[in-house]
Amino acid sequence: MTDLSFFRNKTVLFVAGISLGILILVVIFSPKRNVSPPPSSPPLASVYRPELINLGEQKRREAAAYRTSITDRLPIYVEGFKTSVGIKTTINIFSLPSDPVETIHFEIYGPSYLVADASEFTNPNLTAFKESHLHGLELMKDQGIDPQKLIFIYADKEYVRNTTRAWLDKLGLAP
Amino acid sequence: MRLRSLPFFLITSLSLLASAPWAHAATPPDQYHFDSFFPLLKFIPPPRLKVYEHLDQSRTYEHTRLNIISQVTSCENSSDCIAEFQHCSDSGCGPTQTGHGTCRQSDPDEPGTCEYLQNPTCTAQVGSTDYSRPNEISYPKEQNEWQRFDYIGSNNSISWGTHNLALSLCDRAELQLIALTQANQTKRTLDQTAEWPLGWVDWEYKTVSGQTLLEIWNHLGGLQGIGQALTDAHDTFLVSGGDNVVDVSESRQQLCQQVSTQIHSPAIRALLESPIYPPAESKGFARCSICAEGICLSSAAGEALYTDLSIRASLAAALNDLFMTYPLEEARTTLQQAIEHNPLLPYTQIATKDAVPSHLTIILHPQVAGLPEPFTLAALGHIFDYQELMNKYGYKLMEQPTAVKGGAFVTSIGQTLINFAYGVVSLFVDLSSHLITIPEPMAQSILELQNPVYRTRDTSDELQKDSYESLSTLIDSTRELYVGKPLDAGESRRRLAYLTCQDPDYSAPQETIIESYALGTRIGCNKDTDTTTTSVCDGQEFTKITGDLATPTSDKAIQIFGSMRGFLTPELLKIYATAGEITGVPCEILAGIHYIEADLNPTGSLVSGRPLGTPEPDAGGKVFNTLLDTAIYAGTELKAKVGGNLASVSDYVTALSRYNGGGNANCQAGYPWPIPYTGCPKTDEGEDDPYSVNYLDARHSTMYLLYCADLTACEPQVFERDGSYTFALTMYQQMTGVNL
Repeated sequence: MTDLSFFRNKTVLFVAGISLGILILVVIFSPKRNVSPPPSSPPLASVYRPELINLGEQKRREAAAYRTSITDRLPIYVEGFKTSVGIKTTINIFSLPSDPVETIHFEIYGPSYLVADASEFTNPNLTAFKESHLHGLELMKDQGIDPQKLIFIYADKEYVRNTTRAWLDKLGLAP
Repeated sequence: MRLRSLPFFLITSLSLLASAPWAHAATPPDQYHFDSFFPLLKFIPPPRLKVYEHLDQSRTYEHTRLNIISQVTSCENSSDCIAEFQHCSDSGCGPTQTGHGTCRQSDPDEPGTCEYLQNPTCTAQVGSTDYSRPNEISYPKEQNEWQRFDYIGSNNSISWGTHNLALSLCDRAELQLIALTQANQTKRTLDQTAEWPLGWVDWEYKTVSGQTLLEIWNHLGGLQGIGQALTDAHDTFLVSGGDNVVDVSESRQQLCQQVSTQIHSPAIRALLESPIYPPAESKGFARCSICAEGICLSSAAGEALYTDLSIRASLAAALNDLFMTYPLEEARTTLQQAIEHNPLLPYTQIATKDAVPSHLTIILHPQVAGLPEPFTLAALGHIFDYQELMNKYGYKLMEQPTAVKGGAFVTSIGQTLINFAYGVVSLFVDLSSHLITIPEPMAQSILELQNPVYRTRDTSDELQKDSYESLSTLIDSTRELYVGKPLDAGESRRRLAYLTCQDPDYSAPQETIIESYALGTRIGCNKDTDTTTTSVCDGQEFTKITGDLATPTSDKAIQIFGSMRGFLTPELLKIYATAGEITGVPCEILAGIHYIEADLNPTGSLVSGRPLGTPEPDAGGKVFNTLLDTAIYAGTELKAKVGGNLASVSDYVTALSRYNGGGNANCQAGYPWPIPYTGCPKTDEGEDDPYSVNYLDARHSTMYLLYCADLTACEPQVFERDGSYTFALTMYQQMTGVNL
C-alpha cells in the first residue's frame, strides 16, 4: 500500500506550493515565442495605393469584407448637383474589379482641383467640393452604406488626389 | 520533515525554467540589436557606412537673425495671439512663418500678454517592408528578394524560383543543409555564450509541412556531420575572402548519394522542403533628432528599429549568385573589396561563436580612432547631427534619397513609433529636424554584391550610373514611400527592363506550360501580341457613338494626325482593338488617349505616358507591365467616369476630361490667372477642356493648358496638340474615309 503521509508533510506541501507558484509566474510572464510567420495563406491585395499604406491588416480586412457586402448598391452616380457657388457637380461612387478589394472610388467632378487654395472665401471650388462631398455621404447613407467603414479613393490623378486630401483636412472631413 | 524532498522540487522547478520552450525567442530581442549589434557598426569605415537622411539634409546651422514682421503682444481685447516672422541670414530671409501663441494672465487685474512657445516634436511610424511574399505583387520573382531564387511554386516547375530551376537537386540540398546547420549552430551558440551570432538563423522557422528547422536538423542523423563539414568550409571561405577553399568533394558526394538513394525517407524529404537560404528577421536602425538654434537633441523615444524580413536570405543568395555568374577569381575580387568596405560582411553569414559580438570586438578594429564609447545609436546620431563631427570622423550622408514607390508589402511586423518631444522653447527659434536610417550590416553590403550580377544585364547607358544608390528607404516625410532598402525598386525595374524571355530569371508569376516557355510566348513575354482576339481597329465601334461624327475636324487636327499616322503600327492597333473589345471603348478613343499621354510610344502607358513597368502615381502607384494592361485600365476607367454610360460624343468628351482630372477646363472659376479662352460658357462638362477637344473645330482652335508638370496651376499657355477626342475622331475619319 502506498504511503501517502509524505504528501501530507507541511514542508513538502509548502515547497510544492512555492514551486507551483514559480511555474505559474513563469508561464504568465514569459515572453511569447517569436516565430517567423508560417507560409501564409494568400494575403490581401498589394498596398501599392497610398490610401492603404498606413493601415493595419485588420482594418484592411474589415474594409474589404464591408466593401464586398455593399458592392451591389453601387454605383451611385448623380449628375447636375447644384452647389451654392453656382458650380454643378457630378458625384460618382463606384468600384472597379481592378482596384484593391478594400477600396471604393468616391469622386466628384466639376470643381477645379488645380485651384488648390484651401479657403472658401477665395475658392468656390472648395465650397462646391464640400457640399458635394457631404451630399455624397448622405447618398451613401440613404443606400444603407456606412462611409466610416470604407476606404475611399478620391481620385486617380495625383494632383486631384493631393488637392482632395488637402481640402478634406482643411474641412475636417478627412476620415 | 522530508528535507530531502526540497532539493527535488527546487531542481525540478529550475530545470523546467531552464528548458522551457519560452526560455529563448527565435530572434534576438530588440534591445539586443541596440546594445550588441549596433556597436559593431564602428568596424565599418566611416565613409562606407550608409546612413540616409529623410528630412533636413543640411548640417550647417548658420546663425540667423530673427525678423518679427508683426506680433500681437497684448491680449487684452482679443485672445488671438498671432505673430509673423522670418529667419534671416547674410544670404537672405527665409519664408514668412505665422505662429500662434497663448494668452497668459498672471494677474486678474492686469491685461493678459501673449506668450509664444512651442514644443517641437519629431514623429514617424517606422514601418517595415516585406519582400518575401510571393503573391499579390507585380513580379514576385523580381521584387521578392530571396524567393526570387528560392520560391517553391506550383506543381509546374517553371513557376519556381530561379535557383530552384538552375541548381541541381544536390546543389540545392547542400544549401539547405547549410541553412539547417546554421539554425542549429545559432541555438547552440546562444545556449553556450548567451550571445547571438551576427549570422543568426531563425531555428523556429517552419517549413510547409509545419516542422521547424531545428526539428528537421534533429532528425538528420548522419547528415548532421556532412552539414557541419560543408558549413565549416563555407565559413572558412567567407572569412578568408575566398582565399581558403576547403575540399568538400567527399562530403558533397556522400550528401548527393544519400539524397538520391533515400529521397523518399522522411528526413530527406524534410531536408528538401527547407529553405535554400537561411531565414531571419533582421533589424535596421532609425533615429530622429530636433535642432533648435543649432542645438540638437534626441532621446530613446526618438530611436526605433525597422524590420527586414528577407535580407539574411537575400545576401546569402546574392553571394551564391555572384560565384555562379563570375569566374572564381573575379568573384573573389568583388567579395574581398566588399569585405574591405564592410569587415562585418563575412560574419553576417556565420552562426558560430566566431560571429558573436564579443568575439568580433576582439578580432576587428574600429576604423577610426576616438569614436565614442559606448558606440550607440545615440552616439552616432549625435555625430550625424553636426557637420564638424561628421568631418572629424569621416562620416557622410548618402545622397538625398529619391522617393520611389516599390511594390512590396508594408507589413505590420515590428512597427514602432518614433515620438520625440524636444521640450518647450520659444516659437521664434530656428528649427530643423533630422530623421536618419542606418541599415544593418547585411543591407550595408548587399548592393555591392548584387550589382556585378545585374550589370551583366544592363544596357551600356545604365553602366554609367548607379542611380539606385539614391533610392529612399523606409521612412519618408510624406509617408507614401515603402521601398524597403536601396535598389529594390531599381532592381525590379532593371530586371523588367532588361531581361529577355529566354532568361530564366524572368519567368511569369503566373503558371505557364512547357511549350510556351520553350517558344518564348509566356505571359508577360509577348502578352501584347499573344492574344486570342480577332478584333481589328476598323471604325465599326466608333460609328456607334451618337452625335456628329461627320463634320471634319480642323485642318490643324488633320495635319497633326498625319504626322502621327506612321506610329499607328499594326501591333498598336491590335492592342487598342483588343482593349476595346474587352472594355467596350472604341479603339480610336484609346488611340486618342495614347496619343495625348505618350505620343503613341509603344513603351509609354496610357495612364500617364510613363515607361511601362514603372509605378503610376496617377493610378495610385500601380505598376503596369504591358501596354495592353494600360489600355484596358484606360478603357475601364473611362467608362466608370460617366457611370458606365458611354454612348454619345458628349459622354466621351466629358469622360476624357474627367480621366485627366478636369483641371484644364478653360471656363473654370477661381483660376489665379485670367484664361483668355473665348469659348465660354461651356456647353457640357469637358467641352472646354483642351485635353478632350483642342483643335476639334473653330470654336476650339485656341485653348489653353493650365496644368503644369509640377502638379500645380500655371499661367495659361496655348495648347498646341490635338485633344484626345479630336485625335480619335480624326483617326476615325481619315482611316475610314468618312467625309474625306
